[in-house]
Amino acid sequence: MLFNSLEFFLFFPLVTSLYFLAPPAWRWSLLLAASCAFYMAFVPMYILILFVTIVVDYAAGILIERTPAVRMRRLYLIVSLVVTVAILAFFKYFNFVNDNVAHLAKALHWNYGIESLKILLPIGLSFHTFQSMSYVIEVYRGNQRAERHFGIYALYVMFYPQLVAGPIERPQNLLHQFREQHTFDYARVSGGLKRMAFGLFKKVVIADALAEIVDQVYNNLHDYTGYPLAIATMCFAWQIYCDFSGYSDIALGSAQVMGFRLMENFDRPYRARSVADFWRRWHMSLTTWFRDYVYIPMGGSRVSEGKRYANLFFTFLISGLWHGANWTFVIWGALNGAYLILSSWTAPLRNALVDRIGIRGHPRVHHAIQILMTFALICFAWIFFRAGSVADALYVVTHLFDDLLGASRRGRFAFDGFILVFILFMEYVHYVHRNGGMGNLFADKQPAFRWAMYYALATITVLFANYHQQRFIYFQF
Amino acid sequence: MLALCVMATLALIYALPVPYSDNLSSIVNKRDLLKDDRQNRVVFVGGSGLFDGLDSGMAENRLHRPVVNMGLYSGFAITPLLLEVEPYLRSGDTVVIVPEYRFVFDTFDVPARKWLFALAPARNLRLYRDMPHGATALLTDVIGLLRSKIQALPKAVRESVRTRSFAPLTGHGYAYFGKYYDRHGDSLRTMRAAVPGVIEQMGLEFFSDAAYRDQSFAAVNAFCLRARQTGVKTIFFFPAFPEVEYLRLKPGMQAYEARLRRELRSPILGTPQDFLYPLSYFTNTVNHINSEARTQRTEKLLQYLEKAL
Repeated sequence: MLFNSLEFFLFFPLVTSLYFLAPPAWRWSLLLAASCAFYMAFVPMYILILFVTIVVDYAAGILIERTPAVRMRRLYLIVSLVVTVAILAFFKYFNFVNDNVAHLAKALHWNYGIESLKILLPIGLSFHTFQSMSYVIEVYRGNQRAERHFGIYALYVMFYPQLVAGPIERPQNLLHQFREQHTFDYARVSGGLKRMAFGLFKKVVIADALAEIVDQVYNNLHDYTGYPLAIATMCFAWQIYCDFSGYSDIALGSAQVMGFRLMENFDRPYRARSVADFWRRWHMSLTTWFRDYVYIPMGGSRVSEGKRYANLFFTFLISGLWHGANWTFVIWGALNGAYLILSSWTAPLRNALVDRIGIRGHPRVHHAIQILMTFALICFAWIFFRAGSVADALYVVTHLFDDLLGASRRGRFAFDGFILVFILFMEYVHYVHRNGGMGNLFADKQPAFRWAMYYALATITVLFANYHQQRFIYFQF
Repeated sequence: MLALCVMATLALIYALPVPYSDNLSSIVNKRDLLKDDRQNRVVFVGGSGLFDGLDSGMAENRLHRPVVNMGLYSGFAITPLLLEVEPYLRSGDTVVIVPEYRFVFDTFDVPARKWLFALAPARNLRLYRDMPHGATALLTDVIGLLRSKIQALPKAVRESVRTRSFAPLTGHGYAYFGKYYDRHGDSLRTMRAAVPGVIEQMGLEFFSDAAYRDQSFAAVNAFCLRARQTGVKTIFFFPAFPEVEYLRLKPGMQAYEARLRRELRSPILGTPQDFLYPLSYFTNTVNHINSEARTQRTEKLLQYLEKAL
């Protein structure tokens, strides 16, 4: 069920109430049952896939911990990772690989008879497999004790607030929390609810409104040239941010209500002053996952410059592929990797230019330029993320400045100015809580101001929400 | 407490006499054109094919009768519009029914629903009683109306400051009705083709049985009967349509015409062929004609109406 659905509106208070009423020893089983019900609301049969990965990784964790022999420990780790990745690869990438092999075979005039399969991607697969892999790797590294309680481990993988779209948790952060006793605390509960309300506002008011503009253009690309393409791309930048961070706020808020602390996933990414800074602020749970389990094991920064760039590029390539089985995502990942490499290469040149212009003496102007430049680069990459195909992405790229004012555009284009107001409101809330405090919005403000903000949030959400239940973007990954 | 404040705000916005930003709210203004003392009016009822496809000024000059153009959007369907118009008709009036083929006797669609509610909230609550998830639909429609009021506010405030008058902030219906419509209800803007040479076509599926909607047929006939009893004439015309499309859909078109002639309790003037035009006369859909076709079509309508009235 979606977070912005009537079903969740009924599910959440029921589960939370039962959670606080249940004896502490039973709570894990209640949450596990609720998480199963939550997941099965999508496609019931796919819980079996989840069960397989849970059993394999649960067993692997215990075997790794029990086994002193290094080779056997590594074997268990490899088997666990191979099984988990194989499940992910089959459901997510089989058709992509198959289609590309078929095209290649056709180009080489070879016979190739394997048909693509009608596979529905299990929801949340990319997220919970990564979370499972993180557990096994941390046990292998000795950073985490293997979880002996099967139910608690299953709950770690299936915890419903973060099951379908993260944040991708680490066992050190989450596992022990399932053994803590959480009591009803008014400040914590109300803070969680406020965070959920804010997330809902981002999703149903901003993201879904922007989606209509983006879809209007990106689903009819050849009717547009010039500025509508640029505006639709910038709208997508904000749509995906509000959609995903809104989801994350609801996830973190709902977990907070019950007393759980999940990791933050976003830190005002469009305030980033470089692409590297952007990736320290965007989807932080995934970025740190790739850093800790792909980039650093490959050598990270402790290798030659060339190898470092190769590691960086490869990591972003894989990250792009993680997002979807399409060359557009691969190119998106590659672009971001290229940005980081070029940024590193050109750092001395850019510093020299800044010094020559003398802009370092005007930090606000300098920072503003950096933020705008970073936003422009990120938006350019988003073209590939949003476009349905490489051809579509290239159309956007080649027509972005073609007849810039769009005099020859044939498609209609309408932008509601209220969305800008709502985005500014959202950014104001983030600014006020830039040093933390998202867990209890405006808690340190005067009551009159605080309640005025809550009133504005509630009224705007009721009046401007999209009630037609648009899915969260990251559910498709 | 917060919930109460939000509810009070919504109620206040609903009660405020502020116009709407949505063009479909023009149906309120068009209905208001009937609230006068003029006698022997000719009221055209249809969809967007009449919106900018009728020269009411020409019609008024030729017929020497006041003309009101209720055409706006096919999504209102015919029966609901006739029911909204009915309370304002009087003996001597003539209702000219010109539905597009696509929505012939169909039911209203979702975008139109809230404007039907805005027209007559008490009477049109029945629309929600008869549908699944009616309460949810009513709630979303009411919120949609409120949103449309708020969206009209910035421009209305600017206009109010510019003209130093409260008039732009008050009123009902479409905030820009006076700017984009004439006194008959004709649109002063013409539809533009989104992609030159590409016109949205109509599929064959509309001729399936479901499109005929027996209930709607019965409701239209009931209206025609009541109209006759109160001294109101009703006349049916076929809509403007591309000739090449008519030929493509001919079997369905002919069956539709046969059923109308067999069952409709209203005089049908002319034939579909009277209102077929080259594709180049159409703008963005098979229902929207350009200004040249509008003149020809109005002329043809008047040839029949002058004899009938």
